Amino acid sequence: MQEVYYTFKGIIVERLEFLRNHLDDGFLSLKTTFDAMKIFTCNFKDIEEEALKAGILPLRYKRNQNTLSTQEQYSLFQSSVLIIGCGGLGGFVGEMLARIGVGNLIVCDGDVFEEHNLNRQNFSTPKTLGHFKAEVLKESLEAINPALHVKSIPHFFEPKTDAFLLDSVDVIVDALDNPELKCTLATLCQQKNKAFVHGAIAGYYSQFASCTTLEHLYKENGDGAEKKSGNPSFTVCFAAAIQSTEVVKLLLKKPHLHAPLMGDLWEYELISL
Amino acid sequence: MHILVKLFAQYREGRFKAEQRDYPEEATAQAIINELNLESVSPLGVLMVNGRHVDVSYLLKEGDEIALFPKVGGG
Repeated sequence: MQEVYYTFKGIIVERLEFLRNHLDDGFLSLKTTFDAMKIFTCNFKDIEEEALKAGILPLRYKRNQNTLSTQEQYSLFQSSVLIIGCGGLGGFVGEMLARIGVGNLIVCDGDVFEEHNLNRQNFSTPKTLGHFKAEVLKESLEAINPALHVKSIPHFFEPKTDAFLLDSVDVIVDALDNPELKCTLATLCQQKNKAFVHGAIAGYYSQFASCTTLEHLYKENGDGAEKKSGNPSFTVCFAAAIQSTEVVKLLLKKPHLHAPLMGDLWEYELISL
Repeated sequence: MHILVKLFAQYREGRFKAEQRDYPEEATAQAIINELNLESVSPLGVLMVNGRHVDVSYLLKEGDEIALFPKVGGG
């Protein structure tokens, strides 16, 4: 329990008690959080952590109920996820994980936003063109949810030198656009016994897999079908939604994908292999 | 011999979803890929015969069901 007190009308009040006394219909509001930050000189994350630990749900998560229990919300808050690639998939996975309340994110990409990204990549706007995707993503996610800790790594993931990044996280998200590197990352995660969520898209089509190597999904060398079919916004969002669902299921030890899944938005089919 | 060929995603365009087709005895999976000119669309992503992942050198048997998916790598 936090040893933080302040004097209110001559009465010494503990921080948690302050939060409890200022709930909004049973929930912790942003206003109370900001008030507590001033009174107790602490940061947003400290307050949200203390509330969740005590079973108090921040109001921002009200509509996560009862898909998630308050205890599960606390588990997500304590979790860490590494997102490799901050383009189409990574940008939306990042936003979904931020909004649902995953507390710690590391986002890695050495690319900057370019004009041809504007058709689909979250947080790409004429103003962010030329900016590092990883840095824009960090700023945008922390603006959405100030309780998060987001670390940006604005260089391309290099398996030999960046493998240590996998050690501190609970789940790794493959949001890369390079099949060869996807396979290398999947194998690295297997070697380190780390939960891994793969996703890829091309045109109307997408594919997913969790906690497996990927050679059986990439039989032949060469460019994927996306080089001809492109990457439309709806397929990106659909694929990012499935990847985000998998991340949450893995973090909460729920049943997750045990066979690759192929998504077809032309025929509206999901095919389990 | 009769083989049920199932195509997915971009491989279907201008071809078919599923067709019962005739091939000479001991045709390989690669022979079907070549016959349908699938590599002009995309390199092969997934190859399954009777629900199991196999290599392109797999020798087909009467009644086999082959499923072919293009390579999907965008992010």
